[in-house]
Amino acid sequence: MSLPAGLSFSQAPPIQVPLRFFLSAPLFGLLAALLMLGDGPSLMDSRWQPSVLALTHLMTLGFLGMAMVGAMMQLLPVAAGSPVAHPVGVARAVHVLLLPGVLLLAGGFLFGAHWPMRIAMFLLGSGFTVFVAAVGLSLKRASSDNPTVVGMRFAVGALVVTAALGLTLVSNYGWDWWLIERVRLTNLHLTWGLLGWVGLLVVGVSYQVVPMFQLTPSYPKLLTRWLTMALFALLLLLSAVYMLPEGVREPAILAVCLAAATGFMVYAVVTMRLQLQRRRKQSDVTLLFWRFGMVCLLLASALGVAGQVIPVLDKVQGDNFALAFLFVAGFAVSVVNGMLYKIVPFLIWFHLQSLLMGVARVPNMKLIMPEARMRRQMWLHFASVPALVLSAFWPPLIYPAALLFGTSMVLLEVNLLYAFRIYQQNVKLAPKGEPS
Amino acid sequence: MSQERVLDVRGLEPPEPLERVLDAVATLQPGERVRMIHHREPCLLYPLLSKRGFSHLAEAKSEDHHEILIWRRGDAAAAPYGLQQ
Repeated sequence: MSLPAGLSFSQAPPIQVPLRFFLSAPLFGLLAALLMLGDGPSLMDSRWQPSVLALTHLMTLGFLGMAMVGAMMQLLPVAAGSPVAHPVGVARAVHVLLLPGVLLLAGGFLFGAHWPMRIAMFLLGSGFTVFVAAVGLSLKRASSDNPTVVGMRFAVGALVVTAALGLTLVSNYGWDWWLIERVRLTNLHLTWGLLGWVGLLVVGVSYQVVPMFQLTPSYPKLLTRWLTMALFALLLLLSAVYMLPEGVREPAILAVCLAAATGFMVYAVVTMRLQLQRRRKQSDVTLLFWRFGMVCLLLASALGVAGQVIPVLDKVQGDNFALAFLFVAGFAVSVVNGMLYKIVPFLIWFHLQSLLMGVARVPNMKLIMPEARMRRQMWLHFASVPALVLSAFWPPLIYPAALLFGTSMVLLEVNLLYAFRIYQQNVKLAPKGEPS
Repeated sequence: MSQERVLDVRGLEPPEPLERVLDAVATLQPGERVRMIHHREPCLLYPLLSKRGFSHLAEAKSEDHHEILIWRRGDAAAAPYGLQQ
């Protein structure tokens, strides 16, 4: 009996392919926390100030970007049956380009310097071009019957739009050319990035990983078939209505936002319902991270709509910050954090299982990533999110909030390194000449 | 006539289904095979089995009921009918 089409052991990428991204992610979260501590309550003065732009990109491009790029390269062969070609070279190139690119971009915003922006533009542009070309080819080969593949395709499409808009804006910062539509382009850039690249990827990937790791029933077919497509169409529509003349534009934007928020709310409610129907009744860290993330997604969707419907709320400066903290730290960071706690120990177990065949017993997953370590970090993260959201309305709270978030990121990095050390210790037992 | 050991791993959390089946196949006697029953198709199991010298045949009975027959490669007595080669 041969292996099923599209899957062979050689297609599972070497462990360093996803791990180099996963181990980098929390360091950007830590930098974001240090920036919040350094800037203090004045962070909430305006969403346009340099420190806020630097913070946003450390969290989104840094933490989320690293984790999502790594997860996609790992999940493509397993979830889509279509691996990325030359995974080691692609991962190395993307990592080496994106990592300094994000740091220079954040530094350029923070210090208002032109040259880091120009280099960042080149590094991020090349890094994302390599990544999109590599995963694009892989997704082109994959079967369209698979809703995760469809979700990933839309997410990569959204990444292309986000990156194109982002590079245009960076060039504006780097060369100071006259860009009349900066505010509108920025709003489109962040909408495509957060709802498109982050939102669609989480939704698409969850169709596989939630039932697999949380032992829930499958997502309803109606949802998996239509949701990511509908959300992507709404993003296209939103971009179109942004071009409408003032007066007509606002109600059109409100209608599209309402539809997108409804889509995400339906997704969050369905996910929480599936979690209630899971086979194993004990709660685990990943399940709690996802439940927390879904509650934040519901609140963010509600707040996003409320900000548009209730004019008074839109005037409240903190509203934008609360929404960003809820979506980025509350929803996206939580689900990524929860997934890392399943993917990383599983990958280590899987690679050791292959390497140590008949030589030594592979450590249990609970030893690779002990529950108590994960729970400590989880509670810190859960405490940091409400503190961050409330700091939008009472800025001095940013100090404890940033401290909690930063400590949580340090513990996440320590936990991931702990698991990686177990891999390194065991890999020494493998017979020589085995691929890792 | 082949002997069959049934291993129902439905409802177990990853990687427990893989651990259990790898333990089970390691003790297979000549002429014996394992019938693994899983709530999803264990795609990552196949490369591990292949590397250990086992063949498999997967059949989806329904969306959450997959049966995988596993036997030692070359053990004609354990292989399902039609796959004795």
